[in-house]
Amino acid sequence: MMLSYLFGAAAVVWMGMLLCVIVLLQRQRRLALEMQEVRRMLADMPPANSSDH
Amino acid sequence: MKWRIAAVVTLCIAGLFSFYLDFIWSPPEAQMGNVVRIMYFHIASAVDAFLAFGVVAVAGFLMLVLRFRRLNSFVARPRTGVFALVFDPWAWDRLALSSAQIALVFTSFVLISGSIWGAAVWNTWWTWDPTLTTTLILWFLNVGYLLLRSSIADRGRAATVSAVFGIVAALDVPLIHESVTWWKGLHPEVITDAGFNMPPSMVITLLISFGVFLCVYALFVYLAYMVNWQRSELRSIRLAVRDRLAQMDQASH
Repeated sequence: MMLSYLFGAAAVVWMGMLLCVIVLLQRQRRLALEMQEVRRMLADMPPANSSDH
Repeated sequence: MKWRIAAVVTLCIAGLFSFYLDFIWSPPEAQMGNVVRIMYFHIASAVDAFLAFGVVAVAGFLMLVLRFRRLNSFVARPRTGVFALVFDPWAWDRLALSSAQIALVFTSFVLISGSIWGAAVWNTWWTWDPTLTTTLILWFLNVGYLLLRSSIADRGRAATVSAVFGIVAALDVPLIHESVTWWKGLHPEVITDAGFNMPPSMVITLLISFGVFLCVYALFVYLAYMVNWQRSELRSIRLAVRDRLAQMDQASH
């Protein structure tokens, strides 16, 4: 019974940290891809002063 | 990205070593038996939570000082390079936010692991002991800090208000530490003025656990800082795209 308390607490802390690092790395990767995409979109746009008219 | 993965892998190895010391190498305690091993990550999480909230207060204070230009008359401000970040109030603001996010993680770990430890030793999951209560207050202050930030739309105002809130809220940290001696509740006093109140092998295990957890805190804050920086960058690029689209729309009419 005592060991289940110990392993329960250890699982919360260590697994929590592992989960936290995975979430942060994934979020960073996703944001980097999103930034790349939006930057590309901005670069593909014609300059502000150019117009067909 | 590669060195970040390397840092995570190195920390995992250090974590496994610390895990080995916690669960195999260190001896069980005479009264509590093996449950005492919870202490190694409970106290280390508490140290990280207190440090993180200290960083929130210091970074918030520096942000306020730099933003209101008190330092500029004394220090020549570098405009480029890494040192420019030191004089950038928004960098300190981002650090305060990142540290508050990580503080919430570690304060939750402290409360959960402490509660489990309490269930095993005191036969209750929660008691209104002064140390436990002040730690719970810190958790609520932490949630309050993050809610306050997200509820204010204006970035400058959000930074100022949350910095003041963070400085005031950090006063709870010394209160938690001193509550053990001031009010003498159920919570034991592990670190006294005379040092650690335990055998050397347990002290070594605890110190290594501190070291690993501090490195984990540093990595988490760095990753959270980068995510917050990316978010603000993305917001400004999106604004630029919107402005460009508006200009193109105006030119076509």
